[in-house]
Amino acid sequence: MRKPAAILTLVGFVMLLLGWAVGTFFTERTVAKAIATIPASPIVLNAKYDKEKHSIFYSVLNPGGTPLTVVEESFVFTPGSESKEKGYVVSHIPVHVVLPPGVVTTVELKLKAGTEKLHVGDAVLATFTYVHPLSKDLYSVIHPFTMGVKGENKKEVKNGKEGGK
Amino acid sequence: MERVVWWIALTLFILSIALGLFVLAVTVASNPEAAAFVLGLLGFWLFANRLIFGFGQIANLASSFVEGEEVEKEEVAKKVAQSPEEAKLRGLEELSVAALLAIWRSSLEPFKYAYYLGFFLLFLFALMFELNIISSLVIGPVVEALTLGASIPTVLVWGLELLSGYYLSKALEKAVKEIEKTEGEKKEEK
Repeated sequence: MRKPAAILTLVGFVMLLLGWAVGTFFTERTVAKAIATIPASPIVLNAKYDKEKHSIFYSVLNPGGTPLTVVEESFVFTPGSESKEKGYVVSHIPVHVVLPPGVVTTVELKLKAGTEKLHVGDAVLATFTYVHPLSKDLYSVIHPFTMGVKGENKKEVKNGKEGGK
Repeated sequence: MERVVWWIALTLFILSIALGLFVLAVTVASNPEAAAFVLGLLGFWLFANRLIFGFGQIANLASSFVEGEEVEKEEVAKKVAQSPEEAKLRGLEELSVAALLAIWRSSLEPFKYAYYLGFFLLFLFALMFELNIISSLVIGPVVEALTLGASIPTVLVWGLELLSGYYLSKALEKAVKEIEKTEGEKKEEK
């Protein structure tokens, strides 16, 4: 039979563990809630050109805890040596794409209708303007894309992917 | 005069309950875990109350019996039988204090079983959220907080159960020794 001192020590020890668990739980919840209210900046993980739709699809990760909304797109088209198309700028394309927290979302950027399909070497510098629910400010992410070249731009994107994760 | 005091006490009691409910209702929106924790603690304490005070009193009375202090047999008999008539019919007055305490402790057994069952079910539910077998961002933390709140009275019940078991076994040993002693004296007299 156990002695009362041993029983009290045992119960006290279990109570300490329990108190620890309660404290940890509430600290964790408070921190999780605080982090969930911090808006993060989106990271473009990948960009892919779709020939049939004549548009570029961007995979965008929202690493923060608040949803972000892309409200505007604009881009600068710079032709490569193989293209006959002239360079052009399209700005302020209104869109409404919600980026949920912690998820990769696909954002479509439609190139100018009637222009030539992209050739190797053509560059598209896209700007995404986004807002978050905490303020009325506009923020932007600029992503360079070069068709078919696994050069510096692509490498940068890859680095961004690793850094973002 | 007594009536006035009673009414004041009742009003204060109702007011405190209303205030508690109000505080819970206010915090439930911004901090549902804290509200769930308080609810788990109070709700499970409600069910554990009988066990906590029962085991506590048994441990107390048994230890004072072991130390040779006077324990009123009628008081203990009241806990075992519903009325003095029942105690008389069952012949509880003839039993020793230690035997009455043992009966009291075993009468708490079904309550203990039901209480532990309830806690185990809640614990299992929380474990399922913790291990992501089922997942919900809203309900998960609330169930966890409920379990943490419920585990406080559970640890108390468990500790007091161990303590009352220890003191009761000591009391039973002492009672048996006393009986043997008196029987030996009787034999000597013969």
